[in-house]
Amino acid sequence: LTKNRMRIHSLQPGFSIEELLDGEAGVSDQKLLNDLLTVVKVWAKKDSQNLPDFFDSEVEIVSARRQVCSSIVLNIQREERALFPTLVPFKTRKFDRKQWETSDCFELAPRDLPCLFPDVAIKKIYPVVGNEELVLCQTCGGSAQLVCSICDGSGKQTHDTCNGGGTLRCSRCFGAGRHLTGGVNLVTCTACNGSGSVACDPCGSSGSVVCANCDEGAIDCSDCQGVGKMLKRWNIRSEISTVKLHKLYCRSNWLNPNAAMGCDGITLQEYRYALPVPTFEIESLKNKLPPQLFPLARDLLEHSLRPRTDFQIDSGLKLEVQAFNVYRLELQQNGQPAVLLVGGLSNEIVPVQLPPRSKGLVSQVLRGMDSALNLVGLGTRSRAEREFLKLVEAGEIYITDTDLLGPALRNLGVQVEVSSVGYQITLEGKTLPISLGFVQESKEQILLRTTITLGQGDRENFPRALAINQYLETGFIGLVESEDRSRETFVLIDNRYYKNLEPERFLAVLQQLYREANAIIKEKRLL
Amino acid sequence: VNTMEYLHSLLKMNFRGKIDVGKNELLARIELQGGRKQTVHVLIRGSKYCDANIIELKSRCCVVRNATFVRAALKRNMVNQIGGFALNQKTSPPVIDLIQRILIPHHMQLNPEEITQAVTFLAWQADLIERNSNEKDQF
Repeated sequence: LTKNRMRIHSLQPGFSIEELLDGEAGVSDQKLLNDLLTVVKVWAKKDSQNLPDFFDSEVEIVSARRQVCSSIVLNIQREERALFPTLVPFKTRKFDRKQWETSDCFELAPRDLPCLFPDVAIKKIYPVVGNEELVLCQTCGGSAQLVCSICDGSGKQTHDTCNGGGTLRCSRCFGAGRHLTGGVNLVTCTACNGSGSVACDPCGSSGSVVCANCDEGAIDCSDCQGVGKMLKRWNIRSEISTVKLHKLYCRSNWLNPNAAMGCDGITLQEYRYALPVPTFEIESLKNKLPPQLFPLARDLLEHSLRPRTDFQIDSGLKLEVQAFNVYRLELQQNGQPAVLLVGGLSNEIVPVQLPPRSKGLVSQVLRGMDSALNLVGLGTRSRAEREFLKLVEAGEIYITDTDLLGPALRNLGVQVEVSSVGYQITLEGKTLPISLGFVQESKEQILLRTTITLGQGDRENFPRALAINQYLETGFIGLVESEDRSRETFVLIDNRYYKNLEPERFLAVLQQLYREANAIIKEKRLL
Repeated sequence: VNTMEYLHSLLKMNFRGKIDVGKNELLARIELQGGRKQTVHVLIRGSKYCDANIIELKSRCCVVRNATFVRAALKRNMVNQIGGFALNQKTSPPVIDLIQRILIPHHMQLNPEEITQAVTFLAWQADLIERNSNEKDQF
């Protein structure tokens, strides 16, 4: 959806393994429905040429259902190797002619193969010992020398000063043969005896000099460096890449198993294996993976892992169990129904049913008129909405921030970055990051939750933390658990209603909150 | 208009009950539905960090019976609609107060609707917690 394809927490919250088998459910959360509508509008705006006229501005959500989809994502680290020779000048006078005992590229240049699963292929070249041989230099044919290209093998070059003529213009009479004397008498030049030219001494009047580039018309061959022989050595070219495959499970069959959003979920489980492992058996995954995903994993593994050859090895395997929400949206535009699926961390949209697209000149004229009216604020879409959708598309605003608070804070000199829950804020000249989240409190109300992390939430400091709340000016200390519930963190939190929030007053709150947090940390009040 | 007199008149206009007013603070014993009452302490103080006044509304909720109360209050602060819980250790046994603070920069004026809504919500919320922890109408 956005430039950075960032997760939108409200649409894609965390999942537990137990939730993966849940059936579909209706969506009634108004904030969620608004966020989904924004996703659809941004998509429709981008793809407006293929949609009915005014779809992006007139579309409404009639109903929405949600289904948790799970997928098995297989990452195979595959290394491919190839032998290739290189020729180097034979200067060492020694070479290793010992024949290889194997043609296996992985034995010829053994290397550790850590499981890296690189996103971009890692390319390397390894030298191989042995099998070296001497060959005649192809460039000079073994003669070790080449004809000089400057003098064409003659060993001589045209003398630049006299330009090959062997004479120079007389410097006394400037080539005239006569010159004035005493200011009035014209006399024959004594320097050149009236000829106007003198002999060129540096070349002895021959007009040519010895070629400075070569030795008697020949130069050392640049390839073999004057040796005439080349040493043929062997190298191995290695390329380690990750092959990514997936299969998706959607209980309601909204999506087929190969749908692209299958590898765009939140990773819930991950298993890594260094291959080839003699004990690795696909069946061993049966007790580890969710039951609906094991057959998919087995199918993928049986058809994807390749047997080892002299030139190729599958050196690592990473299995991920991913999950994501898919929303089935029943929409309408002017009474015409449409159905879209929205899902994955990137909020990919899959059209299931679209209203028929109107054709012809009338439609084009209408669209053109609407665009023109929009520009002056009289079209089907308000200026604020157009601005909002434009900013969402550019990744500069959070999807719920319809009142444009983020941009307003930016205009007040605050550094505002879009995050998965709202914004990450950095005040001018300050270091502690402030997190801003949008929370649906009731059907009508959205809360703006501002938090600053204070430090680890140790149990013995709970009373002290709660007592500090008596003396703060803004915000309260709260306790937040990590997603895996392994640790707790103290945060300074401020909740307030989002609607009609004045940006300037809110900035004052942010600054105040920052000062409070900074004082708590600096004065070690929670230690 | 950011004075205690103004706040006093505002509360008197919008709530039933006894209100004691001092220079910078007032104590309102507000009558709620069902005959219950809840005391809200209102205090105005200047900010030590910026040019602003802070209106602090405080209402007592419950007595701390064990450590679970403290942890629960800290966790609840994360999801409170507005305001937060604070431990008052000056009393014996300690109690938990529900507090709401409104920051009013000097160049801005208090929104009367905001203050009355905050007092209503605070009194109602504090009484709800009191009811859930103890049937008596102690605070």
